[in-house]
Amino acid sequence: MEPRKTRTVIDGTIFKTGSIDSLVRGEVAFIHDVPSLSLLASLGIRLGKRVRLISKSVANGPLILSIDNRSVALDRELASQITIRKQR
Amino acid sequence: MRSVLMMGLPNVGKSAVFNRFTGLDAMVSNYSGTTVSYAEGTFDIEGETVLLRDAPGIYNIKHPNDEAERVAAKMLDDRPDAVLFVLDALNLESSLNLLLQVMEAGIPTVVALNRTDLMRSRGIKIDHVRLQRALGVPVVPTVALSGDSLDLVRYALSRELGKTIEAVDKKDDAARWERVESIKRATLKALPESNGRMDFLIRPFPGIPIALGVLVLLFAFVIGVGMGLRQYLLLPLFEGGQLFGGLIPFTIPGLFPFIERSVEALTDHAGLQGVLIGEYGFLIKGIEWPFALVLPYVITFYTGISILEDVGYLPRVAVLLDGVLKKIGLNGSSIIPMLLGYGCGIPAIMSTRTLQSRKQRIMVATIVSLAIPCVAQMGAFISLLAERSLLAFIGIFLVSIVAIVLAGLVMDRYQKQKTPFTLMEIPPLLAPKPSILSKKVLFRIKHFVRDGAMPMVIAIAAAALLYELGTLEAAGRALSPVVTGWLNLPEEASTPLLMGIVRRELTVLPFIDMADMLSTAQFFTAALVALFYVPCIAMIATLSKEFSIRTAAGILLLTTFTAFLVGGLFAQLHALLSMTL
Repeated sequence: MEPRKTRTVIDGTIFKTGSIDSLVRGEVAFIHDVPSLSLLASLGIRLGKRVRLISKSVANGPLILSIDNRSVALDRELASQITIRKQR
Repeated sequence: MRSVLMMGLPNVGKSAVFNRFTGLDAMVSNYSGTTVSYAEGTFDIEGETVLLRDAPGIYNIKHPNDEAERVAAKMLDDRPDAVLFVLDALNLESSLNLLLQVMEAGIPTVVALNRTDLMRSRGIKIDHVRLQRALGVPVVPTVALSGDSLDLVRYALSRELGKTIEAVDKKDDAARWERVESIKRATLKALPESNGRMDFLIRPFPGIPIALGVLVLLFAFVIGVGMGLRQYLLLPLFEGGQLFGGLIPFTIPGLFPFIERSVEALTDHAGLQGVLIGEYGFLIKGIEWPFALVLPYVITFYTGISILEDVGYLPRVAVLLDGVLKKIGLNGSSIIPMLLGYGCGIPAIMSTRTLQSRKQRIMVATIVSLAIPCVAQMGAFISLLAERSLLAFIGIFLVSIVAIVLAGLVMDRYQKQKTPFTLMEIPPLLAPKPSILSKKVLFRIKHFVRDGAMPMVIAIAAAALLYELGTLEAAGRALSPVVTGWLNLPEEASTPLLMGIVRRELTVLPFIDMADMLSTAQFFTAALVALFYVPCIAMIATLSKEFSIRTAAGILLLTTFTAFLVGGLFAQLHALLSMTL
């Protein structure tokens, strides 16, 4: 497997990879790497998908993401296994 | 008989289509998983009676994750003669992924592209002609809730039934998703970015304060409006007086005075009079308890909870409180069965099927059986306590909440299994449709009258008979060491404890008629015992059906033990304190 790049520059814009729970409210990113879980895929959490963080629930509750106009609640533990690529 | 299997994602209006076709009263609601147990009925296709089965709403069948997906996969393996796939216009991608999996079974399929009204109102456009061409099966745009175009679906089914499919296109997951994306690109015309206007409801602030406010409002509505119904409508009807507090200047003679006069006119026999209109006289109590004391709260509770369900608000509460509930070994989704438990334990226990693990199911079912009063019991508490001491009434609710938390903590420690992770879709908010809503509330009220009120009337009749025969007294004497010695209640209090085995509220209601002989502390003791006491017979039956007889017996023992322990501790402490003070 080729080593995961942490920085990519496309047309002068820098993209950075990170865990999906590093997003802040309202931030937009693209899914970069995701565990193969059929329910994740069905809920739209798939490679290359554009996601927006709606909120992080209290007491280490789930992240709430907006993907293609759907709202999905995603457990923190699972979220830590998903990497995204975001503009910076 | 030939059969058609309905399939689709959760929450897309499958039940609505099913009801339109079969005319059966299956439930329609807006949170995931209402149809875990599937519905079955018959309908007519060009003069032929065809069996229609409604599979649970699921996301995939190739890799079943839970009970619902396994059930749906099995139902497809049964080889129906056709599949009616309800495709969610608001959620094309996941719907297509499931549809392609279903089509790999090689069964003739008709697609109902549902919720096209919402699709239009959101500015989404799907080219259904292209969709039909891409899929190679008939696609009919529909609005199931209004029944729009369902006759076309029926026609399409009549054409597809009995066709044979030669070539089946099987794909692996990645290839299937690629196909989904390409069909989506070809057919979806516009997908405007959500404006996020309602996102504040799922942010901790102000989401959590709003959720707590909504729950307080729900209970205020249930109790306030319920009390009003009882006071101004039902009591005058039963006992005589003016309707709506004299707003209508007409005095109703009342049903009970009429019954009493008639019975007295018909018979002089004291025993018979006792059974009919005496202490537990079932012509009086058998009507008063279920219909005047409990029914008002059944009406208001199911009105309130059905509105929240149909709006789609409950999954939002679930997500907001998920982190907090994890601390006691539950997760956000368990809030829905628990809230339903405040209506009736039976649907609450059945709705635990939507929870992911057996651990969660048993935990929630135990909590519902132990610490959550059903609406009938709540109505009884209101009649018993709220009118005497509001503080005691609020106290009972606080005890109930503390008990929920403690039960969660203890069971979480005892069961080593890990709480499963949360991964769920939050359905869009919808304006409730008054016609659907009223149908659902009526259905639930009818259910209460049939399965709740009728057993109650029979139990009261039996109690009336046993009371007149002196059997209740004898049983009371046998129980009296516990009742008088440990709970500090009069000997008569053993009767409600015996009756409470049949229906939960029967542990509470007889105390109302003992008002003169009990202190507020004794009332509170009785309410504590009643809160934790045995779930009703129907609940025990449901528990053993859903889990096992052993689990049901365990819960039965636990609740009875807790009831006597907590009630007795309070009574003894209170006695000790009032002696020292």
